Amino acid sequence: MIRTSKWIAEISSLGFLFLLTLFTGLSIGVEWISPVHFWDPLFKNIIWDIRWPRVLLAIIAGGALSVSGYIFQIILKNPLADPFILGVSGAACLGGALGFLLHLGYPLITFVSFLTSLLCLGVIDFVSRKHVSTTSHVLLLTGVFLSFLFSSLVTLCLSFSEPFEGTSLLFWLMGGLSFPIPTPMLWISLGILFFLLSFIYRKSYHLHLLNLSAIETQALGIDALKTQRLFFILASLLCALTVSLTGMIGFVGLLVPHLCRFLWGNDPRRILIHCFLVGAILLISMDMVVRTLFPYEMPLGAMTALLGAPFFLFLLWKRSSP
Amino acid sequence: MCLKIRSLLYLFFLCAVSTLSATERIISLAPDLTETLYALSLQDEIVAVSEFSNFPKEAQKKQTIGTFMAPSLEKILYFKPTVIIAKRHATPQHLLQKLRQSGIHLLEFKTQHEIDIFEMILQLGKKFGKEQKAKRLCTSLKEMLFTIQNRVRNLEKPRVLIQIELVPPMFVGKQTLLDRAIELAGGMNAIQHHKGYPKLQKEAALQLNPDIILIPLTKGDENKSQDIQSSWKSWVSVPAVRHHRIFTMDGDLTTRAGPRFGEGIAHMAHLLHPTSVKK
Repeated sequence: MIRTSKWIAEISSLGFLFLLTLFTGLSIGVEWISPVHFWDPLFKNIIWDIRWPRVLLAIIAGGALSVSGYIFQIILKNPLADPFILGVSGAACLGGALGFLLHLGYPLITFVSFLTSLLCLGVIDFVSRKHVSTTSHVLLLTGVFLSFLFSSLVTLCLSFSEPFEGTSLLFWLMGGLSFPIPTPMLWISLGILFFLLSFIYRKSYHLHLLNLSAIETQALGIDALKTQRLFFILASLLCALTVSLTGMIGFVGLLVPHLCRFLWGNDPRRILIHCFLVGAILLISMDMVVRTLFPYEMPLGAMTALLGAPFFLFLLWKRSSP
Repeated sequence: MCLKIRSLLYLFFLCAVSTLSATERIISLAPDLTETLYALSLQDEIVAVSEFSNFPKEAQKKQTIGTFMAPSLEKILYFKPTVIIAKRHATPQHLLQKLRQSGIHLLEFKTQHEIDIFEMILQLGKKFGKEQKAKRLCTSLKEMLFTIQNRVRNLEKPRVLIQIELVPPMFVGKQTLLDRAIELAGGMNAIQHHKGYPKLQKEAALQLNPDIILIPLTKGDENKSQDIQSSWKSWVSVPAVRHHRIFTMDGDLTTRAGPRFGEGIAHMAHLLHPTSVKK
C-alpha cells in the first residue's frame, strides 16, 4: 500500500470535499434548507425521505461505476472501456425490463435485475474459463455480443410494453436516482459496496501488476488470467449492483478513471480511493445541479453525458496539445 | 302502377343505402374512439381496433392493430380500411402521414375538452349517417355534465393532484382532458404552471400541497396504484395525506374522451365532494 503524506493529504482533501458535497446535496434542491434544520419536523421528511436516499444512491452509483470503469480499463487494456462494455449491465437492464413488463413494482424490479446480471456474469465467466488460453479479447467479444443480444431483447420488451409502462421503462433505462428504493435496501447495497471495495483495495497490488505486460507478470509469479478473472468478477458485481439500483448512468465510469489518472497517475494502489470519492462527488453534484435547475425529474444518465462529454474533450485536448 | 314504381324506387334506395354502409370499413386507433363508434351503433363497420379497446365487451372480439402509440401499418393496410379514425397527438404523425399517402380517408380528432368530445361524436355521426343518434348522445352527455356542474358550482374547490405514473413521477398538467375533468367535477388542478403531463420531482409535487390526490386505475396496474399510494404515506404535512384523501378512480372512465366521460366526471365529483354528489 502506498500511504505517503502526499497521499494522505490528497485523500483528506477529497474526503473533506466529499462531506461538503454531501451536506450541500442535502441542503440544495427545489428549496434551500440549512443543515441546522435537517431535523426540524417541518423539513425532516424532505431531507431524510427524498434527498438522503438520492445522495446515498449517488454515492453508491458514482463510486461503484468509477471503480468498476477503472478496473475494466486495466483488465481489458482499453482506455475506452467502461462498466457497461460487457453484457452484465445489459443483462441487468433486461431483468429490469422484464420486471416492468410483469408489473412487479419496486424493489422486486431491482432484485430481478440484479439476479439476471449475476446469471450473465456466470455465463461470461464460464466462457472465459473455457477459453483460458486466450487473452482479454475473448472476454471482451463475449461481453460485447451478449450486450448486443440483451439490448435487442430490451428493445423487444419496450415494443411489447403498454404506453405508459414503456415511458417508465425508458426512464429507468436512462438512469436516475429518483427510483422508490427502500432506504434499508440502500444501506445493504452500501454495505455490499464497501465489502467489495475493501477486497479490491486489498488486492490492488495485483491490479497494478495487470498494467504490466504478460511476460513481466509471469516473471513476477502472478497468474495473469486468474487475476484478470477475479477483477472482472469484482468489477462486474459493482456494475450489476449499480445498474439494478439506478439504471444506466453513463459516462461516470469512463470519465472519472481518466480524470483521476490525469490528476494523480496510473497506480491502482494510489488512486482507487480517489476514484471512488471523485465518482461520488461528481454524481452528487450533477444530481444537485439538475435538481436545482429544473423542477422536472430528468434522466440523470443523459445529463451526465451531456455535461461530462465537453469536460472530457477539454481534458483530452489540453493533454494532447503541445 | 305508380305504387309499384314507388315501392321499386324505395327498395332501390334501401339497397343503395345498405351497400353504401356495408362498404365502409372503419379502423379505430384509440379505445375512446372505439367506444364512440359502438355508442353510434357502428359496430358492424369496424374491421379492427387498437389494443386496450375493452369497452363494450364485444369490442374485445375485434381484430387489433397494435397500441394507439405504435400501431402496425402493415396490419392496418391488411384490413383494407376505407376510414381510419385517430386521436390527435396520440398516434405518431409520421404513421398518420403514411396512411394519408396510401389514399385512406383519415379522421383526426382533438380530445382536450368536452367540446372536442361533442364535436367528435357529431362529426362521426354525420360521416356515417348517424346524425340523430349522435345528437342524442351529445344531449345526454351535456345534460349529465350540466347536472353535475349545478351541484358543485357553489362548493369550495379542492386542490386536486392527479398522479398517473410513479417512475418517473408523472402528473396531470394544464391543457389536458383530465385537467378539464377536474374543473367539471368541481375541483382545481393543483398544477397550474405546467402543460401536458409534467414529470415533476417529488419535492416540487409536495410544494403543490394538494387537498386530494387521485390515481387513475386501469386493469392490470393495481400494483402501480398501490405503489403510488404508499409513496405518499409518510407525507402527513400534505393535506390530502393528513385527511386520508388519496383515492383511486376508474382510469377508463375519466381518461377516455368518449360517451362515458360524463360517468367519469360523476365519479370524480363524488370523490371531490362526497356529501354533495352521491354515487
